[in-house]
Amino acid sequence: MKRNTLLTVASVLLACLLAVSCNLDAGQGIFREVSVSVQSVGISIIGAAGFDSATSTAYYVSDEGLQSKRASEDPQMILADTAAIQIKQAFVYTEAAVTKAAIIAQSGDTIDSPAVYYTYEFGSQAPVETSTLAIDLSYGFLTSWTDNSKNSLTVSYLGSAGSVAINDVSAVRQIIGTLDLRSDPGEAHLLITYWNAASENRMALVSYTGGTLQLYNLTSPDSYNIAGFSRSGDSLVLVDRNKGYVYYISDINASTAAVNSQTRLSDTFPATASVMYFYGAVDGANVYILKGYKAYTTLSWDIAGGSFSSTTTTSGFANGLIVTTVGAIRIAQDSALVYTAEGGLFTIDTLNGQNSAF
Amino acid sequence: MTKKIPVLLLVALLAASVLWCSGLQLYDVGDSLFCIYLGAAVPDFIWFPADNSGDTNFLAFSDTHLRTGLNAAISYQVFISPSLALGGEVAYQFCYSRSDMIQTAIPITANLSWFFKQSTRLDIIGGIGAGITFAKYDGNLYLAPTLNLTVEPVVYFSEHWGFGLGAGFTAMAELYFADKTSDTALAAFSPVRLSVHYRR
Repeated sequence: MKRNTLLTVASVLLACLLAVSCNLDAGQGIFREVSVSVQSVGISIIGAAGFDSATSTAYYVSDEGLQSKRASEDPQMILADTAAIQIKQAFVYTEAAVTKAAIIAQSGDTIDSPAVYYTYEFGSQAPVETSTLAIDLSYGFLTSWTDNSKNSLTVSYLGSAGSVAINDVSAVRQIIGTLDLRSDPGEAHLLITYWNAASENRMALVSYTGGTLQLYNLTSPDSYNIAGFSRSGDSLVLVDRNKGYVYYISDINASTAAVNSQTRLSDTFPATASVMYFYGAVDGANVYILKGYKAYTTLSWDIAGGSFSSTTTTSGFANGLIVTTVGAIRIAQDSALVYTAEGGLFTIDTLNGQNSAF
Repeated sequence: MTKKIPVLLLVALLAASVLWCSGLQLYDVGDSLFCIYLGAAVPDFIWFPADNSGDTNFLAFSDTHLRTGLNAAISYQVFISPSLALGGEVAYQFCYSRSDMIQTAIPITANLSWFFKQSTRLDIIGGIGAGITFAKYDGNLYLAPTLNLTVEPVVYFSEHWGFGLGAGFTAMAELYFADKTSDTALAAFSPVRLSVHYRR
Protein backbone atom coordinates (compact mmCIF):
# COMPACT_ATOMS: atom_id res chain seq x y z
CA MET A 1 0.00 0.00 0.00
CA LYS A 2 2.66 2.46 1.10
CA ARG A 3 4.85 1.51 -1.82
CA ASN A 4 2.02 2.06 -4.29
CA THR A 5 1.23 5.45 -2.77
CA LEU A 6 4.82 6.56 -2.95
CA LEU A 7 5.06 5.40 -6.55
CA THR A 8 1.91 7.34 -7.40
CA VAL A 9 3.23 10.52 -5.77
CA ALA A 10 6.61 10.10 -7.44
CA SER A 11 4.93 9.64 -10.83
CA VAL A 12 2.83 12.76 -10.37
CA LEU A 13 5.86 14.82 -9.39
CA LEU A 14 7.83 13.47 -12.34
CA ALA A 15 4.99 14.37 -14.69
CA CYS A 16 4.97 17.87 -13.21
CA LEU A 17 8.70 18.26 -13.76
CA LEU A 18 8.34 17.10 -17.33
CA ALA A 19 5.53 19.58 -17.88
CA VAL A 20 7.67 22.42 -16.50
CA SER A 21 10.65 21.41 -18.60
CA CYS A 22 8.67 21.84 -21.78
CA ASN A 23 6.96 24.96 -20.56
CA LEU A 24 4.89 26.94 -22.94
CA ASP A 25 6.74 30.18 -22.60
CA ALA A 26 4.70 33.30 -22.07
CA GLY A 27 5.87 36.18 -24.20
CA GLN A 28 6.77 38.45 -21.35
CA GLY A 29 6.00 36.48 -18.23
CA ILE A 30 2.46 35.98 -17.07
CA PHE A 31 2.84 37.61 -13.70
CA ARG A 32 4.91 40.43 -15.18
CA GLU A 33 2.06 41.15 -17.54
CA VAL A 34 -0.41 40.99 -14.69
CA SER A 35 1.66 43.27 -12.50
CA VAL A 36 1.78 45.98 -15.11
CA SER A 37 -1.76 45.74 -16.37
CA VAL A 38 -3.53 49.04 -16.45
CA GLN A 39 -7.10 50.00 -16.56
CA SER A 40 -7.82 50.95 -20.10
CA VAL A 41 -9.11 54.46 -20.43
CA GLY A 42 -10.75 53.55 -23.70
CA ILE A 43 -8.51 55.74 -25.83
CA SER A 44 -5.68 54.63 -28.06
CA ILE A 45 -3.38 57.62 -28.40
CA ILE A 46 -1.06 57.78 -31.39
CA GLY A 47 0.73 61.01 -30.61
CA ALA A 48 0.72 64.31 -28.77
CA ALA A 49 -0.72 67.28 -30.63
CA GLY A 50 0.02 70.13 -28.28
CA PHE A 51 -1.04 71.63 -25.00
CA ASP A 52 -2.82 74.93 -24.48
CA SER A 53 -1.67 76.24 -21.13
CA ALA A 54 -4.25 79.04 -21.14
CA THR A 55 -7.16 76.59 -21.05
CA SER A 56 -5.20 73.61 -19.70
CA THR A 57 -6.26 71.58 -22.70
CA ALA A 58 -4.26 68.71 -24.07
CA TYR A 59 -4.53 67.78 -27.73
CA TYR A 60 -3.66 64.40 -29.14
CA VAL A 61 -4.20 62.12 -32.10
CA SER A 62 -6.05 58.93 -31.26
CA ASP A 63 -7.02 56.03 -33.47
CA GLU A 64 -10.33 57.81 -33.94
CA GLY A 65 -9.08 61.24 -34.91
CA LEU A 66 -7.92 64.51 -33.36
CA GLN A 67 -9.17 64.86 -29.81
CA SER A 68 -8.82 67.21 -26.87
CA LYS A 69 -9.02 66.71 -23.15
CA ARG A 70 -9.14 69.11 -20.26
CA ALA A 71 -8.06 67.98 -16.82
CA SER A 72 -10.59 65.69 -15.13
CA GLU A 73 -13.00 66.00 -18.04
CA ASP A 74 -14.00 63.57 -20.74
CA PRO A 75 -12.21 63.69 -24.09
CA GLN A 76 -13.78 65.67 -26.91
CA MET A 77 -13.58 64.81 -30.58
CA ILE A 78 -12.36 67.71 -32.68
CA LEU A 79 -11.98 66.04 -36.04
CA ALA A 80 -12.89 62.41 -36.53
CA ASP A 81 -11.07 60.14 -38.95
CA THR A 82 -12.83 59.35 -42.18
CA ALA A 83 -12.10 56.74 -44.81
CA ALA A 84 -10.27 59.35 -46.87
CA ILE A 85 -8.50 61.15 -44.03
CA GLN A 86 -6.83 59.02 -41.37
CA ILE A 87 -4.96 61.43 -39.11
CA LYS A 88 -1.42 60.32 -38.29
CA GLN A 89 0.09 63.48 -36.83
CA ALA A 90 -1.36 66.81 -35.81
CA PHE A 91 -0.50 69.95 -33.96
CA VAL A 92 -2.87 72.58 -32.64
CA TYR A 93 -1.73 76.20 -32.75
CA THR A 94 -3.10 79.71 -32.82
CA GLU A 95 -2.67 82.04 -35.75
CA ALA A 96 -4.26 85.50 -35.93
CA ALA A 97 -6.43 84.62 -32.92
CA VAL A 98 -7.81 81.58 -34.74
CA THR A 99 -7.19 78.11 -33.38
CA LYS A 100 -6.02 75.78 -36.11
CA ALA A 101 -4.72 72.28 -36.48
CA ALA A 102 -2.01 71.17 -38.85
CA ILE A 103 -2.59 67.59 -39.91
CA ILE A 104 -0.67 64.89 -41.70
CA ALA A 105 -3.06 62.21 -42.83
CA GLN A 106 -3.25 59.22 -45.08
CA SER A 107 -6.07 57.76 -47.02
CA GLY A 108 -7.46 54.63 -45.48
CA ASP A 109 -7.63 52.97 -48.88
CA THR A 110 -4.13 51.54 -48.80
CA ILE A 111 -1.53 51.13 -46.10
CA ASP A 112 1.14 52.89 -48.12
CA SER A 113 -0.97 55.76 -49.32
CA PRO A 114 1.04 59.01 -49.51
CA ALA A 115 0.92 61.43 -46.61
CA VAL A 116 -1.13 64.54 -47.27
CA TYR A 117 -0.87 67.79 -45.37
CA TYR A 118 -4.08 69.49 -44.27
CA THR A 119 -4.93 72.58 -42.29
CA TYR A 120 -8.08 72.75 -40.22
CA GLU A 121 -9.76 75.70 -38.54
CA PHE A 122 -11.62 74.76 -35.39
CA GLY A 123 -15.34 74.81 -35.99
CA SER A 124 -15.11 74.51 -39.75
CA GLN A 125 -16.63 71.65 -41.68
CA ALA A 126 -13.59 69.92 -43.06
CA PRO A 127 -9.81 70.20 -43.29
CA VAL A 128 -8.26 71.81 -46.34
CA GLU A 129 -5.75 69.84 -48.38
CA THR A 130 -2.49 71.57 -49.31
CA SER A 131 0.33 70.76 -51.72
CA THR A 132 3.01 70.79 -49.02
CA LEU A 133 5.20 67.65 -49.16
CA ALA A 134 5.02 67.22 -45.40
CA ILE A 135 6.85 64.38 -43.71
CA ASP A 136 6.62 65.27 -40.03
CA LEU A 137 4.74 67.38 -37.50
CA SER A 138 6.55 67.27 -34.20
CA TYR A 139 5.70 69.68 -31.42
CA GLY A 140 4.82 72.51 -33.75
CA PHE A 141 7.50 72.03 -36.36
CA LEU A 142 6.41 71.25 -39.89
CA THR A 143 9.13 69.40 -41.78
CA SER A 144 8.59 68.94 -45.48
CA TRP A 145 10.53 68.29 -48.66
CA THR A 146 11.30 71.56 -50.31
CA ASP A 147 10.30 70.25 -53.74
CA ASN A 148 9.75 67.07 -55.68
CA SER A 149 13.47 66.47 -56.11
CA LYS A 150 13.53 65.61 -52.39
CA ASN A 151 17.09 66.59 -51.66
CA SER A 152 16.45 69.38 -49.20
CA LEU A 153 14.13 69.93 -46.26
CA THR A 154 12.17 72.98 -45.22
CA VAL A 155 11.35 73.41 -41.56
CA SER A 156 8.88 75.97 -40.27
CA TYR A 157 7.22 76.59 -36.94
CA LEU A 158 3.44 76.66 -37.02
CA GLY A 159 1.89 80.01 -36.34
CA SER A 160 5.05 81.94 -37.09
CA ALA A 161 6.62 83.34 -40.22
CA GLY A 162 9.85 82.14 -41.76
CA SER A 163 11.51 78.81 -42.35
CA VAL A 164 14.94 77.26 -42.56
CA ALA A 165 16.34 74.93 -45.20
CA ILE A 166 18.46 71.84 -44.67
CA ASN A 167 20.27 71.01 -47.87
CA ASP A 168 22.08 67.96 -49.16
CA VAL A 169 19.65 65.45 -47.70
CA SER A 170 19.36 62.05 -49.28
CA ALA A 171 17.35 60.32 -46.59
CA VAL A 172 15.91 61.33 -43.25
CA ARG A 173 16.68 59.06 -40.37
CA GLN A 174 15.07 60.55 -37.27
CA ILE A 175 13.03 63.63 -36.51
CA ILE A 176 12.60 64.32 -32.82
CA GLY A 177 10.93 67.29 -31.25
CA THR A 178 10.81 68.72 -27.80
CA LEU A 179 8.73 71.52 -26.44
CA ASP A 180 8.74 73.55 -23.30
CA LEU A 181 5.47 75.42 -23.51
CA ARG A 182 3.15 75.99 -26.36
CA SER A 183 2.21 79.47 -25.29
CA ASP A 184 4.49 82.35 -26.17
CA PRO A 185 7.23 83.00 -25.43
CA GLY A 186 7.63 79.24 -25.48
CA GLU A 187 10.65 77.47 -26.78
CA ALA A 188 10.64 74.48 -29.06
CA HIS A 189 13.44 72.50 -30.62
CA LEU A 190 13.66 69.94 -33.38
CA LEU A 191 16.50 67.52 -34.02
CA ILE A 192 16.87 65.92 -37.43
CA THR A 193 19.36 63.18 -38.22
CA TYR A 194 19.89 62.29 -41.85
CA TRP A 195 22.27 61.02 -44.49
CA ASN A 196 23.69 63.36 -47.08
CA ALA A 197 24.32 62.46 -50.71
CA ALA A 198 27.67 60.92 -49.74
CA SER A 199 25.89 58.70 -47.18
CA GLU A 200 27.50 60.54 -44.29
CA ASN A 201 25.74 60.97 -40.98
CA ARG A 202 24.47 64.47 -40.42
CA MET A 203 22.53 66.14 -37.67
CA ALA A 204 20.70 69.48 -37.57
CA LEU A 205 19.02 71.33 -34.74
CA VAL A 206 16.21 73.76 -35.44
CA SER A 207 15.27 76.00 -32.53
CA TYR A 208 12.29 78.30 -32.19
CA THR A 209 13.07 80.82 -29.50
CA GLY A 210 11.72 84.30 -29.01
CA GLY A 211 9.72 84.12 -32.22
CA THR A 212 12.78 83.32 -34.33
CA LEU A 213 13.71 80.14 -36.12
CA GLN A 214 17.37 79.19 -36.08
CA LEU A 215 19.24 76.32 -37.76
CA TYR A 216 22.36 74.70 -36.27
CA ASN A 217 24.32 72.13 -38.23
CA LEU A 218 25.90 69.84 -35.68
CA THR A 219 28.57 67.21 -35.58
CA SER A 220 26.78 63.92 -35.33
CA PRO A 221 27.60 61.41 -32.60
CA ASP A 222 28.15 57.80 -33.51
CA SER A 223 24.90 56.73 -31.96
CA TYR A 224 21.95 56.71 -34.23
CA ASN A 225 18.96 55.79 -32.19
CA ILE A 226 18.36 58.94 -30.27
CA ALA A 227 15.64 58.77 -27.65
CA GLY A 228 15.62 62.48 -27.12
CA PHE A 229 17.59 65.60 -26.58
CA SER A 230 17.54 68.72 -24.54
CA ARG A 231 18.93 72.16 -25.19
CA SER A 232 20.09 74.42 -22.42
CA GLY A 233 21.55 77.71 -23.56
CA ASP A 234 24.16 76.84 -26.14
CA SER A 235 24.62 73.27 -24.97
CA LEU A 236 22.82 70.15 -26.05
CA VAL A 237 22.34 66.78 -24.39
CA LEU A 238 21.48 63.66 -26.39
CA VAL A 239 20.35 60.31 -25.05
CA ASP A 240 20.81 57.10 -26.99
CA ARG A 241 17.87 54.75 -26.92
CA ASN A 242 19.66 51.44 -27.30
CA LYS A 243 22.42 51.42 -24.73
CA GLY A 244 21.63 54.56 -22.84
CA TYR A 245 24.72 56.54 -23.83
CA VAL A 246 24.54 60.19 -23.01
CA TYR A 247 26.20 62.74 -25.28
CA TYR A 248 26.94 66.34 -24.58
CA ILE A 249 27.59 69.12 -27.06
CA SER A 250 28.93 72.11 -25.20
CA ASP A 251 28.50 74.75 -27.91
CA ILE A 252 26.01 74.33 -30.72
CA ASN A 253 27.13 77.58 -32.34
CA ALA A 254 30.63 76.19 -32.85
CA SER A 255 29.26 72.72 -33.59
CA THR A 256 31.64 71.19 -31.10
CA ALA A 257 31.89 67.45 -31.19
CA ALA A 258 29.38 65.40 -29.31
CA VAL A 259 31.17 64.11 -26.24
CA ASN A 260 30.15 60.78 -24.86
CA SER A 261 29.54 61.20 -21.17
CA GLN A 262 31.28 57.86 -20.69
CA THR A 263 28.35 56.93 -18.53
CA ARG A 264 25.84 54.55 -19.91
CA LEU A 265 22.47 54.65 -18.29
CA SER A 266 22.38 50.91 -18.83
CA ASP A 267 25.44 50.59 -16.57
CA THR A 268 24.12 52.81 -13.87
CA PHE A 269 20.61 51.46 -14.03
CA PRO A 270 20.82 47.87 -15.31
CA ALA A 271 17.30 47.66 -16.65
CA THR A 272 17.57 51.01 -18.34
CA ALA A 273 19.12 49.56 -21.44
CA SER A 274 16.26 50.95 -23.37
CA VAL A 275 15.36 54.52 -22.58
CA MET A 276 11.72 54.45 -23.43
CA TYR A 277 11.18 58.14 -23.51
CA PHE A 278 13.39 61.11 -22.96
CA TYR A 279 11.74 64.16 -21.55
CA GLY A 280 13.97 66.92 -22.67
CA ALA A 281 13.92 69.30 -19.79
CA VAL A 282 16.98 71.00 -18.48
CA ASP A 283 16.36 72.53 -15.10
CA GLY A 284 19.44 74.46 -14.19
CA ALA A 285 22.15 71.82 -14.28
CA ASN A 286 19.93 68.74 -14.37
CA VAL A 287 18.51 66.73 -17.23
CA TYR A 288 15.41 64.68 -16.59
CA ILE A 289 14.70 61.44 -18.33
CA LEU A 290 11.45 59.60 -18.00
CA LYS A 291 11.78 55.89 -18.38
CA GLY A 292 8.46 54.21 -18.81
CA TYR A 293 9.10 50.52 -18.64
CA LYS A 294 7.84 48.38 -15.76
CA ALA A 295 7.56 51.57 -13.77
CA TYR A 296 8.16 55.20 -14.48
CA THR A 297 11.59 56.23 -13.42
CA THR A 298 12.81 59.78 -13.54
CA LEU A 299 16.54 59.93 -14.01
CA SER A 300 18.30 63.11 -13.16
CA TRP A 301 21.73 63.87 -14.55
CA ASP A 302 23.94 66.37 -12.85
CA ILE A 303 25.83 67.53 -15.93
CA ALA A 304 28.67 69.20 -14.06
CA GLY A 305 29.18 66.38 -11.59
CA GLY A 306 28.48 63.66 -14.11
CA SER A 307 26.38 61.75 -11.62
CA PHE A 308 22.97 60.23 -12.07
CA SER A 309 20.21 59.80 -9.58
CA SER A 310 16.76 58.34 -10.01
CA THR A 311 13.29 58.51 -8.61
CA THR A 312 11.06 55.54 -9.25
CA THR A 313 7.37 56.08 -9.20
CA THR A 314 5.84 53.54 -6.86
CA SER A 315 2.46 55.05 -6.34
CA GLY A 316 -0.15 56.97 -8.19
CA PHE A 317 -1.54 56.59 -11.66
CA ALA A 318 1.74 55.84 -13.38
CA ASN A 319 2.80 53.05 -11.07
CA GLY A 320 3.44 49.96 -13.12
CA LEU A 321 2.53 51.53 -16.43
CA ILE A 322 4.12 49.49 -19.15
CA VAL A 323 2.24 51.18 -21.92
CA THR A 324 4.11 52.98 -24.63
CA THR A 325 4.73 56.64 -24.04
CA VAL A 326 3.96 58.52 -27.21
CA GLY A 327 4.78 62.01 -26.08
CA ALA A 328 5.47 64.35 -23.21
CA ILE A 329 5.16 68.09 -22.86
CA ARG A 330 6.49 70.25 -20.11
CA ILE A 331 3.44 72.09 -18.81
CA ALA A 332 4.93 73.87 -15.81
CA GLN A 333 8.11 74.09 -13.82
CA ASP A 334 9.11 70.50 -12.96
CA SER A 335 5.85 69.16 -14.34
CA ALA A 336 5.29 67.18 -17.51
CA LEU A 337 2.18 65.93 -19.21
CA VAL A 338 2.77 62.38 -20.43
CA TYR A 339 0.77 60.88 -23.26
CA THR A 340 0.55 57.08 -23.16
CA ALA A 341 -0.76 54.81 -25.87
CA GLU A 342 -3.41 53.01 -23.84
CA GLY A 343 -3.21 54.45 -20.33
CA GLY A 344 -4.44 57.93 -21.11
CA LEU A 345 -2.72 61.10 -19.95
CA PHE A 346 -1.08 61.84 -16.67
CA THR A 347 0.98 64.56 -15.14
CA ILE A 348 4.23 63.75 -13.42
CA ASP A 349 6.45 65.81 -11.16
CA THR A 350 9.89 65.34 -12.64
CA LEU A 351 11.54 65.95 -9.29
CA ASN A 352 9.73 63.49 -7.04
CA GLY A 353 7.77 61.25 -9.39
CA GLN A 354 4.39 62.13 -7.95
CA ASN A 355 1.76 61.73 -10.60
CA SER A 356 -1.93 61.69 -11.23
CA ALA A 357 -4.33 61.11 -14.07
CA PHE A 358 -4.94 64.18 -16.18
CA MET B 1 -9.57 46.18 7.53
CA THR B 2 -12.02 43.96 5.65
CA LYS B 3 -9.18 41.56 4.86
CA LYS B 4 -8.43 41.15 8.56
CA ILE B 5 -11.94 40.02 9.55
CA PRO B 6 -11.84 36.52 8.02
CA VAL B 7 -8.33 36.01 9.37
CA LEU B 8 -9.37 37.00 12.88
CA LEU B 9 -12.45 34.77 12.66
CA LEU B 10 -10.32 31.88 11.59
CA VAL B 11 -7.80 32.41 14.37
CA ALA B 12 -10.61 32.60 16.94
CA LEU B 13 -12.20 29.45 15.56
CA LEU B 14 -8.90 27.63 15.67
CA ALA B 15 -8.18 28.67 19.23
CA ALA B 16 -11.63 27.58 20.38
CA SER B 17 -11.28 24.34 18.49
CA VAL B 18 -7.97 23.47 20.10
CA LEU B 19 -9.44 23.99 23.55
CA TRP B 20 -12.55 22.02 22.67
CA CYS B 21 -10.98 19.04 21.03
CA SER B 22 -10.13 15.80 22.68
CA GLY B 23 -7.21 13.62 21.85
CA LEU B 24 -9.27 11.03 20.00
CA GLN B 25 -7.98 9.23 16.94
CA LEU B 26 -10.97 8.40 14.80
CA TYR B 27 -9.42 7.39 11.54
CA ASP B 28 -7.94 4.14 10.39
CA VAL B 29 -5.54 3.54 7.56
CA GLY B 30 -7.57 3.27 4.38
CA ASP B 31 -10.32 5.65 5.46
CA SER B 32 -10.97 8.35 2.93
CA LEU B 33 -12.09 11.94 2.74
CA PHE B 34 -13.75 13.76 -0.14
CA CYS B 35 -14.05 17.55 -0.09
CA ILE B 36 -15.52 20.31 -2.19
CA TYR B 37 -14.26 23.86 -1.69
CA LEU B 38 -15.60 27.23 -2.72
CA GLY B 39 -14.35 30.63 -1.69
CA ALA B 40 -12.30 33.71 -2.41
CA ALA B 41 -8.78 33.92 -3.77
CA VAL B 42 -6.98 36.88 -2.24
CA PRO B 43 -3.88 37.99 -4.16
CA ASP B 44 -1.07 38.33 -1.61
CA PHE B 45 1.93 39.38 -3.58
CA ILE B 46 3.94 39.08 -6.77
CA TRP B 47 7.68 39.08 -6.25
CA PHE B 48 10.29 39.41 -8.97
CA PRO B 49 13.41 38.24 -7.11
CA ALA B 50 15.78 38.69 -10.05
CA ASP B 51 14.61 42.15 -11.00
CA ASN B 52 17.39 44.49 -9.96
CA SER B 53 16.20 47.37 -12.05
CA GLY B 54 15.43 49.54 -9.08
CA ASP B 55 11.82 49.40 -10.11
CA THR B 56 9.28 47.98 -7.74
CA ASN B 57 9.89 44.23 -7.54
CA PHE B 58 7.60 43.32 -4.65
CA LEU B 59 3.96 44.08 -5.16
CA ALA B 60 1.46 43.29 -2.43
CA PHE B 61 -2.34 43.05 -2.44
CA SER B 62 -3.87 45.69 -4.72
CA ASP B 63 -0.45 46.59 -6.10
CA THR B 64 -0.37 43.16 -7.73
CA HIS B 65 -2.93 44.67 -10.12
CA LEU B 66 -5.21 41.71 -9.36
CA ARG B 67 -8.57 41.86 -7.67
CA THR B 68 -9.83 39.25 -5.23
CA GLY B 69 -11.20 36.39 -7.25
CA LEU B 70 -12.83 33.01 -6.88
CA ASN B 71 -11.38 29.65 -5.93
CA ALA B 72 -13.10 26.29 -6.22
CA ALA B 73 -11.61 22.86 -5.73
CA ILE B 74 -12.21 19.20 -5.13
CA SER B 75 -9.93 16.87 -3.24
CA TYR B 76 -9.73 13.24 -2.32
CA GLN B 77 -7.46 11.83 0.34
CA VAL B 78 -6.80 8.44 1.88
CA PHE B 79 -5.51 7.97 5.41
CA ILE B 80 -2.06 6.45 5.49
CA SER B 81 -1.91 6.62 9.28
CA PRO B 82 -4.48 7.54 11.97
CA SER B 83 -3.56 11.23 11.64
CA LEU B 84 -2.12 11.59 8.12
CA ALA B 85 -3.96 11.52 4.82
CA LEU B 86 -2.45 11.61 1.37
CA GLY B 87 -4.25 12.53 -1.82
CA GLY B 88 -4.71 15.13 -4.44
CA GLU B 89 -6.53 18.34 -5.17
CA VAL B 90 -7.64 19.98 -8.38
CA ALA B 91 -8.61 23.62 -8.10
CA TYR B 92 -9.75 26.37 -10.40
CA GLN B 93 -9.04 29.95 -9.55
CA PHE B 94 -9.50 33.22 -11.33
CA CYS B 95 -8.84 36.87 -10.58
CA TYR B 96 -9.32 39.90 -12.78
CA SER B 97 -6.46 42.27 -13.47
CA ARG B 98 -6.68 46.04 -13.69
CA SER B 99 -7.18 45.80 -17.40
CA ASP B 100 -10.23 43.59 -16.73
CA MET B 101 -8.52 40.56 -18.19
CA ILE B 102 -8.93 37.27 -16.41
CA GLN B 103 -5.97 35.47 -14.88
CA THR B 104 -6.80 31.84 -14.38
CA ALA B 105 -4.96 29.12 -12.51
CA ILE B 106 -5.60 25.41 -12.30
CA PRO B 107 -3.40 24.03 -9.52
CA ILE B 108 -3.10 20.25 -9.46
CA THR B 109 -1.35 19.19 -6.29
CA ALA B 110 -0.49 16.15 -4.25
CA ASN B 111 -1.54 16.91 -0.68
CA LEU B 112 -0.54 15.60 2.67
CA SER B 113 -2.92 16.44 5.52
CA TRP B 114 -2.27 16.18 9.20
CA PHE B 115 -5.35 15.76 11.40
CA PHE B 116 -3.67 17.09 14.48
CA LYS B 117 -6.90 17.44 16.45
CA GLN B 118 -9.69 14.95 15.96
CA SER B 119 -13.08 14.49 17.55
CA THR B 120 -16.47 13.20 16.52
CA ARG B 121 -17.63 16.74 15.87
CA LEU B 122 -14.57 18.68 14.90
CA ASP B 123 -11.30 18.10 13.11
CA ILE B 124 -8.51 20.57 12.67
CA ILE B 125 -6.50 19.84 9.59
CA GLY B 126 -3.20 21.24 8.49
CA GLY B 127 -2.06 20.50 4.98
CA ILE B 128 0.82 20.87 2.61
CA GLY B 129 0.68 20.29 -1.10
CA ALA B 130 3.00 20.38 -4.08
CA GLY B 131 2.31 20.19 -7.75
CA ILE B 132 1.83 22.21 -10.84
CA THR B 133 -0.41 25.10 -11.81
CA PHE B 134 -1.67 25.79 -15.28
CA ALA B 135 -1.53 29.58 -15.13
CA LYS B 136 -3.01 31.56 -17.98
CA TYR B 137 -3.22 35.24 -18.80
CA ASP B 138 -3.75 37.14 -22.00
CA GLY B 139 -3.49 34.02 -24.13
CA ASN B 140 -0.21 32.91 -22.57
CA LEU B 141 0.08 29.68 -20.62
CA TYR B 142 2.68 28.80 -18.04
CA LEU B 143 3.03 25.61 -16.04
CA ALA B 144 4.16 26.84 -12.67
CA PRO B 145 5.58 24.70 -9.87
CA THR B 146 3.28 25.22 -6.94
CA LEU B 147 3.35 24.83 -3.18
CA ASN B 148 0.39 25.29 -0.89
CA LEU B 149 -0.21 25.35 2.84
CA THR B 150 -3.65 25.13 4.42
CA VAL B 151 -5.28 25.05 7.80
CA GLU B 152 -8.92 24.18 8.23
CA PRO B 153 -11.28 23.39 11.08
CA VAL B 154 -14.13 21.12 10.02
CA VAL B 155 -17.34 20.73 12.00
CA TYR B 156 -19.20 17.45 11.47
CA PHE B 157 -22.95 17.47 11.85
CA SER B 158 -23.29 13.74 11.19
CA GLU B 159 -21.02 10.78 11.17
CA HIS B 160 -19.93 11.42 7.59
CA TRP B 161 -20.75 15.01 6.63
CA GLY B 162 -19.13 18.20 7.78
CA PHE B 163 -18.53 21.83 6.93
CA GLY B 164 -15.22 23.58 7.07
CA LEU B 165 -13.77 27.04 6.80
CA GLY B 166 -10.20 27.07 5.70
CA ALA B 167 -7.48 29.47 4.76
CA GLY B 168 -4.32 28.81 2.90
CA PHE B 169 -1.32 30.12 1.13
CA THR B 170 -0.55 29.11 -2.43
CA ALA B 171 2.70 30.10 -4.10
CA MET B 172 3.33 29.69 -7.83
CA ALA B 173 6.75 30.10 -9.36
CA GLU B 174 7.35 31.35 -12.89
CA LEU B 175 10.94 30.63 -13.77
CA TYR B 176 12.94 32.20 -16.58
CA PHE B 177 16.59 32.18 -17.48
CA ALA B 178 19.07 34.12 -19.60
CA ASP B 179 17.67 37.40 -20.91
CA LYS B 180 14.31 36.88 -19.26
CA THR B 181 15.64 36.25 -15.77
CA SER B 182 14.21 39.51 -14.51
CA ASP B 183 10.71 38.23 -15.30
CA THR B 184 11.10 35.30 -12.91
CA ALA B 185 8.23 35.65 -10.48
CA LEU B 186 6.75 34.17 -7.36
CA ALA B 187 3.05 34.82 -7.05
CA ALA B 188 1.14 34.07 -3.88
CA PHE B 189 -2.55 33.85 -3.18
CA SER B 190 -4.56 33.12 -0.05
CA PRO B 191 -7.64 31.05 -0.73
CA VAL B 192 -10.27 31.51 1.99
CA ARG B 193 -12.82 28.79 1.38
CA LEU B 194 -15.91 27.11 2.73
CA SER B 195 -15.91 23.37 2.30
CA VAL B 196 -18.12 20.33 2.45
CA HIS B 197 -16.45 17.16 3.73
CA TYR B 198 -17.50 13.57 3.39
CA ARG B 199 -15.54 11.00 5.34
CA ARG B 200 -15.88 7.26 5.46
